[in-house]
Amino acid sequence: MTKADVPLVKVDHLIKSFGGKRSLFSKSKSIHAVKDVSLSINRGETFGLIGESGSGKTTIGRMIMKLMDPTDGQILYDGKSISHFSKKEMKDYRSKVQIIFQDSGSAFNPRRPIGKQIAYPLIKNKKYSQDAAMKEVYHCLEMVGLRKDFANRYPHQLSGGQRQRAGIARALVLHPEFLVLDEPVSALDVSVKAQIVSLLENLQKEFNFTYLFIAHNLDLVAYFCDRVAVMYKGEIVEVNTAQQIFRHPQNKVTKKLLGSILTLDGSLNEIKSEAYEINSIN
Amino acid sequence: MNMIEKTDSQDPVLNIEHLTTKIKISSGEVSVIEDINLKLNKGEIMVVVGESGSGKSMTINSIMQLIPKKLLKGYEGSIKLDQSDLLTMNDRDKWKLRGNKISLVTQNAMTSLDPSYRVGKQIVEIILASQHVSKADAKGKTIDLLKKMGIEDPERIYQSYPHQLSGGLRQRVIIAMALSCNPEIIIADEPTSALDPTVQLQVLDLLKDVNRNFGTTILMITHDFGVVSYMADKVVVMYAGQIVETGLAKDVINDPQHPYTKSLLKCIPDLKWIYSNSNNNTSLFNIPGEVPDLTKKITGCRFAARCFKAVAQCSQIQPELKKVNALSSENNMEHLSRCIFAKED
Repeated sequence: MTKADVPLVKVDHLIKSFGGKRSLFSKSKSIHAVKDVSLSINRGETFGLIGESGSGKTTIGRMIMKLMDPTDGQILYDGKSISHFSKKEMKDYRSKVQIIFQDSGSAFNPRRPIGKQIAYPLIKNKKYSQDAAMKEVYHCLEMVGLRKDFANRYPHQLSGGQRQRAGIARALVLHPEFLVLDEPVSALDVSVKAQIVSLLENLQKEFNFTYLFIAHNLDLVAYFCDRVAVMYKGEIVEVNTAQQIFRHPQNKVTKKLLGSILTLDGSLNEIKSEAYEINSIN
Repeated sequence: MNMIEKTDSQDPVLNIEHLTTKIKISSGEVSVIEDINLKLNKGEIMVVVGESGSGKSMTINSIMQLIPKKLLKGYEGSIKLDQSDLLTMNDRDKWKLRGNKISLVTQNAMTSLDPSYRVGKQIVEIILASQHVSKADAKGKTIDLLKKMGIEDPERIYQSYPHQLSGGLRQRVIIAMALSCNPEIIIADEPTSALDPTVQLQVLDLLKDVNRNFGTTILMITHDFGVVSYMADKVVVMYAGQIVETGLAKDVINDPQHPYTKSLLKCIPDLKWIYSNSNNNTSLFNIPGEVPDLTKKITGCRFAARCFKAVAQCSQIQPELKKVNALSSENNMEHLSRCIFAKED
């Protein structure tokens, strides 16, 4: 079982800075979006990345997707550095790793039916015939709970939840192993949030997906993630299992974030003291 | 929760009775909200909750009279603000009310601020338009307001353009703007949905402070029951254009009567497992399906198709809002539910 020992994604001393370009007379100020971040994500787990906006969560997700190159440090996928991939390896990597955006509406082309857009990578990348590709598209749509005829609709004809499902279908079509979920439910209603998270959960059970879940809905992170990393100003301040993070937060940033969760029974701290009372009685 | 003593004996500040709003569509007309009754007393925080398409925003747009004339077919019922009916009022009088008596905080601050003017100037402009003060006084008032919004360096914010501010700061500026003419009622349409949880908490706290310190009545829209529980004195649950449940927030949250309210509450993950020794073996509750299309006629209960409790009768009889046995009897707010299974008083 050597394969299981190697983390699927390993991020090693990753640094990303923007700006800092030198012109003839001056050097512009550089901003460090990600400062020396290391983390490893194991096969089949859901790894949560939380933090305020601007803390660098999305930048890490994008660098793993290779939508951006790191300034320094490396990302290892299955033990290999993604920055040294050959063209063929890169093509393979692109189908293994997929991203689901916060707003799938803006990620779809408004002028083409969604079925065609989902089929595009199959035809282009995997050389499927038109018919075989559409068959696969119908299969994917079914998996995410959309009817066949949604393939002929345009993005604006779908509700927010349906668009997010279509976004997931597009990610599934190339049979990925690893999915970056960049705030997939932040823009949705509470009820639709629950539907999408359940869908992601079921897909994970069925296909043994590995997820990087970037979110600021902390209650969903607590529910959904196995391990959680907390980011603050480009650095990871705390990594632990979800239960430990929420039960015994160590860092003051984590404590502040947890304090902002609004639950039905008042703040999380109130539930906490209540739960400890029950435990101490038992 | 900090509950403040509120007197209910006086007349309501905002009284909506049997409000129905009809919108033109290609095949005729559709009632986007139907028979809405709301009473807001002075100093209260009322929260309207529901999914998208439930008619929350349409209720607010009807109160503010913001539905474009091209779309609007007509209103029925009345919206009384301090005894004067907004629906029969002429445009001139409406202008006077907006801002001075009632003002709006929108979800997306970027759309309510002009990107090409400094934010301070935009607030001053409003003060000058509605009050007889000098420019210098208006500026002083604006800086004072910004300070009250918990902004540390109001002078710098006064001179900033909207794009230079963070989301939380922008929302504070919008709230300052809404407060600039000392309105009696602030209507907030999902004021925190676009914000981070930490910033969300700050903005909610600010709204609570405004409510406490200025005695401003707040009508707020959200789809998050966490926010309801944190903010609301009273809650109104809407579904497909109708009120399905209403009552004191603690009654509705602790003893929900309508299956829709129950389902919405169950969609929030239960975090108690974290503090027990067991693993997370709860699974998330799902409401199947989607909000119905109002352009198609629905007989019976509008939630029946998605309801976990529905019986054959549900799709035949249109249930009325019934009074149910309220948990707390301290207030004269009734607990109502639109379900044939609601336990009656």
